[in-house]
Amino acid sequence: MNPVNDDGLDSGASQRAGQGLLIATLGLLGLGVVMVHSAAASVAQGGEWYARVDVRHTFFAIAAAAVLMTVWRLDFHWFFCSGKRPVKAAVLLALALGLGLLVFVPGVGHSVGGFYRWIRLGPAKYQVSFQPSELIKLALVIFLAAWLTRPQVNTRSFLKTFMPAMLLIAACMALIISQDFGTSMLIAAAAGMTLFLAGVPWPYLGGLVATAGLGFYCFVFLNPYRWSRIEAMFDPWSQNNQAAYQARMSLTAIGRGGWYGQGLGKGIVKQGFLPEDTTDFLVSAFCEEWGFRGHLLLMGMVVVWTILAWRLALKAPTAFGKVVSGSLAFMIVLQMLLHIGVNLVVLPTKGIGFPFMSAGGTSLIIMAAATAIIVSVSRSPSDGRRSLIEMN
Amino acid sequence: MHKQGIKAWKHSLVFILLILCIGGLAVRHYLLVRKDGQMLGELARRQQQMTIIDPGRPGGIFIASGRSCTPIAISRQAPLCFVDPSLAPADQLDEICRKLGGILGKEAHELRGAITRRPNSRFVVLAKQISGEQAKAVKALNLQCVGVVHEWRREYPANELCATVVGFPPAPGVANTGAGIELTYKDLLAAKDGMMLSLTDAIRRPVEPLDDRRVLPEDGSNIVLYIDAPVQEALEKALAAAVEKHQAQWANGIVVDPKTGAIVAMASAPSFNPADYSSATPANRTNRAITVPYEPGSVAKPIFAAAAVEAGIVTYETKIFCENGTYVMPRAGRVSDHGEAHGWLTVRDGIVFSSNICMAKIGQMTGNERLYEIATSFGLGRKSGIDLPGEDAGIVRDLHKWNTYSTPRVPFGQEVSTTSLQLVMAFSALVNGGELLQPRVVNRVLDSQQRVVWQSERTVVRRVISEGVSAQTRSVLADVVERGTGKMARMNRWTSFGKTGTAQVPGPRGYEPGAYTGSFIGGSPVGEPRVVCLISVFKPKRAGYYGSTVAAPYVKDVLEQAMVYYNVPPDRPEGQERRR
Repeated sequence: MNPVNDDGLDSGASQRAGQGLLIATLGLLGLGVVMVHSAAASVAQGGEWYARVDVRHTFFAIAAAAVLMTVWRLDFHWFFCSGKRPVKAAVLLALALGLGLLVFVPGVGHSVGGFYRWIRLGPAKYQVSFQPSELIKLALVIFLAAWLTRPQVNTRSFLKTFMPAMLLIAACMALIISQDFGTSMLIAAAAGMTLFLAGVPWPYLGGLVATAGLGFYCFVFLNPYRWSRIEAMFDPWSQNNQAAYQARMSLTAIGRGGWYGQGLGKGIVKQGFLPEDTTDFLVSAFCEEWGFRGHLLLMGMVVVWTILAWRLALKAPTAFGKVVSGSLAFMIVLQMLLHIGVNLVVLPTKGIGFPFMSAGGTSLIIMAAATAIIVSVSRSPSDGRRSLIEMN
Repeated sequence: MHKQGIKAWKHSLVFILLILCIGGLAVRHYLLVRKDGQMLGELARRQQQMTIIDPGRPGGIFIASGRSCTPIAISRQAPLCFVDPSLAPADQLDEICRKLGGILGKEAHELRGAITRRPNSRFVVLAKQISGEQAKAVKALNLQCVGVVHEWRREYPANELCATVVGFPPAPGVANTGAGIELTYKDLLAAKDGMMLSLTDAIRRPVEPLDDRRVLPEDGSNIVLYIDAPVQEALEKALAAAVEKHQAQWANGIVVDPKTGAIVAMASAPSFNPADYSSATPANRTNRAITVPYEPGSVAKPIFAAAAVEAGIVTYETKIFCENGTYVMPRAGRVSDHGEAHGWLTVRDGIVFSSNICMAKIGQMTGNERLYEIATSFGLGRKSGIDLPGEDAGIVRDLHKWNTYSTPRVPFGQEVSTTSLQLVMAFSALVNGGELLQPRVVNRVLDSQQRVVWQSERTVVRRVISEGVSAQTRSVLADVVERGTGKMARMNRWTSFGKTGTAQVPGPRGYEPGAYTGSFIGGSPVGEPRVVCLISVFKPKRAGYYGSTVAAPYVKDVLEQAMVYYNVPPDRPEGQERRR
């Protein structure tokens, strides 16, 4: 029944962990809807009902829940691992990169705050924005996992495995880095994790991390804007620029929240003081209203989510399942940590949304899909398809 | 199958690290709240709290009208439209101004100018006292930079009625402004502003009021005057008519209740509208009844005569030879009876026909020292202490400056100057049984809940004559109206008394030729006087100048109105009614 279950856990336990992960994710989605409504109930409301952040977020959260509850039933082993080469995963990645390029096409690409991160679709009044970098994040991890777990792979080969993978990662990052530094870093981290989990020798990766650290340093140090964000992290009270202001407001919100919080809806820092309170600083707004106590609860949910995803990754019946679920779970949890880290001003101010909770339709749906994939690949491949895997 | 296999420890390492990171972040949050929590909370309070002044309502001034009170000065909330230029988008300014101009009825470029002149202000007033509909329309524009607030606006619903008494409030921060009750009682009328603390959003709009830190405003006290609206109105009409008919420079008048000292009417013409006081001349803004002293002339005669009777120097029936119209005295000049020749007259008839020579002889019998005492004891040349600003003391010179010329002249009202208020109070003392009373304008003070916090009381300054002499004086003064110089003040249904006065106006060198103050002071009814009324008309140019013609008929009108208003039963026997 479970030919490749290394841990010897039965599929019943796996099923329960999968259900638990789905429920935890739905819980985070629900909490996100509440918090976005609370944080959005402030200054810049008005205009078309459709343009309202809270209304849109509700619709996207419902859509994300629908994605979550349907996609986990699909069989991704069969989808991505059939055949000798991961063609379908490659097509998905190519599609994602194509959309990523569309961002720079005038008329389709859409900028907010000077950054081209979105493409816009639909009639003028009811446009839907789509953020290709989110899709690239998912597609790259899936492709790398599928590619590195194909039967004929030699993960230890520097030239045949490591270099092409690095080139691909670099290409993906290059597409995004100028417009969305945070996401490109996240992509690098997730892809690196995929390589690590798939068995690429860690000295390669260690060398890569060292190189990346050096590159990061140069990249940040040579750009005054980025450097100011680093400085703001160390002492946001000493300077008066946008990044330091955001950090100060974030601290103010957390300080005002104190131990027990002001109570739901009673936050004041969200009233126009804290920018991006529905996205990049959602946890700050949450802390103001729920306090340290509420934040512990949220972090508890994150821990539960992490443990469930970890167990699912270990129980995955195939190598592809283990690698892809481990990488995706790492990516999601890392993004949560980075978000909280930025909000607590231990990391430089960087636009990173909280998965499942922050406003942003693309992110919600991609994250839901990623979770569904984690749950899906932890199951045994369905009987009809098992022969394919065993054949591999 | 995958050649290297997937090692479980890698997964475990990664996820344990992640969970440790979560723990680390929780510790960071804990330390943050523990160490900086208070400081951050304080910062938040400073940034996100704002104090909103909640202005209290200034008190009102009321006058009596029947059994109820009529507001004469009240504060009402009026909407005001303002713009916060820092929130006005520069590219939309033209359109905003055009829209606002349409609502407020102003030129768009005018508004634009007002906004661009003070770009750094947060509060540029575009229009004050707009209507409720305009306020609604402005709010309906739903512009972030435009707002409507309410301010207390002082209103004078009766316009000019009682203007000189009510006055106008002092301009904030400007010394020596304000007049009348509004000035004297500015502290009582003023409201204590309340304070609301509110949490605000980033563009300083109040979001959530902090009720526990709220200070409620205290409304100002209300002041009820003794002024009776109908009598006041009658007096003002009479004064305006007198100024109009006789082309006088001005006229003033007071109606007082002689038993209590309550001022029931006080006016000056020409007057002004308190709501628009800045457009009036300073002279018209003053309350001439208390601020302008003048030589009283013959109206002062009964004061000195009654005092002489009280002192036993003469009685009203003592006969005095009036020198057939011209009396020349050694070292005291010449006194005439303005063209009339009287022989022997009783003191009573001396008053009735207003003989200067009679009074001059009484003065000579009384002597300077006593005359001085009489003048000051009746309150002449001294401030009465009325609670209105700008009172003049008048002039009664120090005794050592008096000479032999003073002796015959002071008793008929020369060489002293008095305000109308002093005269009317002295006259009240003559007819009310002999007590000089403190004049009072304010009846009572009510707090914002309409509870009486202060009630004025009748205050006797001193007794000046006995009740008996007072009664005799009333009958003498009644004779003035019945058969003497005051016939014009005779009413058909009520008995009345009074005394005319025609004084020359002193100029830089002696008396100004052709300049007179015509006055009449009278009251009704004779038995128990209910009101005493004085009207003085300054420098009448047309249709006579004697008090008997320029003042007496108007006093009669006021008295008649007052009798009707106070519901005094007519006391003149039917048969004595005279048809005119």
